Amino acid sequence: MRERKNVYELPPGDTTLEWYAKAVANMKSRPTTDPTSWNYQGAIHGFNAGNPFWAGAPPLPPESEQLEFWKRCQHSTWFFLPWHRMYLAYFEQIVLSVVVELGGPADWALPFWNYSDTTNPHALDIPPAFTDPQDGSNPLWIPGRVNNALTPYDVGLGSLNIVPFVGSIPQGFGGRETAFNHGGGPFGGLEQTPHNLVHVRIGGAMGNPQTAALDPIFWLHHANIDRLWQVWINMGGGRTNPSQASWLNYRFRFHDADRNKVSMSCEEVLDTRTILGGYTYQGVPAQAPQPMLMRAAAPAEAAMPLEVVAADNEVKPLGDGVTDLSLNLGSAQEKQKANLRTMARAVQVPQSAYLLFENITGKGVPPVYNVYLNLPNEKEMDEEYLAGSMGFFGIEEASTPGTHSDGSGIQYVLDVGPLLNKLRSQSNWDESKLSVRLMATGAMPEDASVSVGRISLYSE
Amino acid sequence: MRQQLLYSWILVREKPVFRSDLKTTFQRWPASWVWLMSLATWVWLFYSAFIAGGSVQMSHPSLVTMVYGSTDLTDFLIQLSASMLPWMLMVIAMMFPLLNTQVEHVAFSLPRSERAKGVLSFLSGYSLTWLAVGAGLQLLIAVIDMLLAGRSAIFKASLPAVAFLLAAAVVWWPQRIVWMAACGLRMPLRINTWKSHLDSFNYGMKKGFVCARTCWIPMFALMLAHHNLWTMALVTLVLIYERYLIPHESKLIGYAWLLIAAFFTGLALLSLGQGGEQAIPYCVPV
Ligand SMILES: [Cu+2]
Repeated sequence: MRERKNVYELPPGDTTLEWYAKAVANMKSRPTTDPTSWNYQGAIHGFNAGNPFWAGAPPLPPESEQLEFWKRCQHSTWFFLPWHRMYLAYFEQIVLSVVVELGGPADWALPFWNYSDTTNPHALDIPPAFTDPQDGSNPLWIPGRVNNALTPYDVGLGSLNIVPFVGSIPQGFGGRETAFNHGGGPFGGLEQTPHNLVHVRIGGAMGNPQTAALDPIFWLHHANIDRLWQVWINMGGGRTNPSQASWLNYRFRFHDADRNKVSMSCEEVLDTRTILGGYTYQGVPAQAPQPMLMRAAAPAEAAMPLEVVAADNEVKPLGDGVTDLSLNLGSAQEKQKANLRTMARAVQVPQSAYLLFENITGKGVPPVYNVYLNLPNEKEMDEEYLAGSMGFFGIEEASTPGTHSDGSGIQYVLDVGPLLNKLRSQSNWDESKLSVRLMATGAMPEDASVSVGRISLYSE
Repeated sequence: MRQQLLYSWILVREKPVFRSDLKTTFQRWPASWVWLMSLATWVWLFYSAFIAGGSVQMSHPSLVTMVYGSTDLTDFLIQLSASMLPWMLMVIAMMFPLLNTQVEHVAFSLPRSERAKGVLSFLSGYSLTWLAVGAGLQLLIAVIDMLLAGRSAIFKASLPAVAFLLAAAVVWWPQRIVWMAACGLRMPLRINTWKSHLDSFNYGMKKGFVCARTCWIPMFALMLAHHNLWTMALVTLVLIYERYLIPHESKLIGYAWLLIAAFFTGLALLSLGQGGEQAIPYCVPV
């Protein structure tokens, strides 16, 4: 069984990254029409002929082939995790075959980048093998990355605490139930943080699904996301994958290392040890998935959706600095106001509450935004009041009507329950008004923009 | 193909309505109300066709007859609106079941107390767009009637077939995938009482436009086929199948339109031997 290893714990003299670099260089030399080429593999995730990162790609495969195999990545859906697991498995099979062709080890496996490892002082940095351009000759380097290091907020693992796999409000760990969904709509917990934030923080090619897989670090990032899925399952406590047949039986099509057209279903990727050659993650026991005793039984009833308590539709485009707004809780129905009052008194009973950002549209790769609630000091960005960070991964494609997009943009759901419960116990809590501050954590690139259609608060 | 059909069956089996009690269904899945409206319309259509002694097809009085036959403007308007009734019933019966995602979006965007009203505003806006589209199509029929006046009846008899053929051709037009993707359109709604209704209404009109853009040709074909109930039912099943059970880039629906076109061509050819226009069945004879 091949083992996907922590890129920061490779023993001295290990050649995993050397062979990866050689294989990447080899794949980059293959024409875009070859399913095992670097460009073709990247285009399976996303493609945009007009994006400068794709400038050297033509000649391209025929339209019909592009329609069938390109731009297939799944985001904002319960297929996010299984699709990327399949995508990585076939990519790894292809890289392995190239490595072997070039005389490398037959047990080569994709390493993962564990940026959340607090015991590693360098965890937040892109591994050095990827950041030194070597005058442009390093195949693991790509021009245009905005940051070579992440921030601790990008890589929080709070989403592992989400027990249900499926859901939007309340948020699920894996995403909401949809059909094929290339982008648009609300994200799942793990997809939002750390996945989106890592993409957008690195920026450049990584910041946009149409180009992300062209950056060699993409694959180590997604290996880590895939690992975290296994970590989540292993935590138990009711954490299970969806049991609906519509999830288990959904199939996606790829090419294998022999360039054959193949397909895989979600059910086939539940146990990493049985995918293609099989693999495990260093330090993560590969528990078999819980036996599904009730395969044909009805899935658990979805929870009653929460109710909107306040909304603001007048948000201006977000800029480089701060955007302040206040949610008028007073406009809520009397009953809800009463609820809020009860909440205020019964602080010991945690209430769930979500801040929903709808119709987030724009272009380019806008910076990561932090969201603060009821900041006591206007000038000081006190992390005590941080509700979460937003990385608008996929904003451009979701804002443009296209083959896979209705153009309504993406959605963000922040779990503000714990923070609100804390704020309610403070003396300055105003039950009629909640102030929200959005702050850009970086500069807005010239070709980028972002605006929000509605910000609302959902509560029980 | 076989896999696709099997997967569709899985999706049908998992539809919430088959696995919870009615009350939960209505609260959790507000679109089930809209399905009920559609169902009631179907029941009424079949009732008036078979039990109340009507016909399985309703014909529009031609616009030309309306203009010359009306005594004054009010009379004309009354006749016009009466002529739109079968069209609007068709929209409720056939299009409302395609609105699950939008109805849910409206319902869950609003406080519980505003949900029902918001959904009604949405449906009103949606219907208004379709009403305008219907009036436009009436006009188109009037023009076609004028062009075909005095020509062999076979032209007129083959109109539904031609329209379904056109519908099929459009399925293979690349832009249609983009229009299909646009079906999922969402708009941010305000939650204050009257503004929420205005926004829902607006959203309904927009969604009506997006729907009419992809669906007007088969709907027009049905108009030409005098709203024949059996064809309507068949087309509805095809539309629901396409909307919920297959990927939006699938071309399966094109084959369905081709089959229906072939069927109407057969009918038109059959009518060839029968001479006079009266003898020509526009659509399925019952
Ligand atoms: Cu990704």
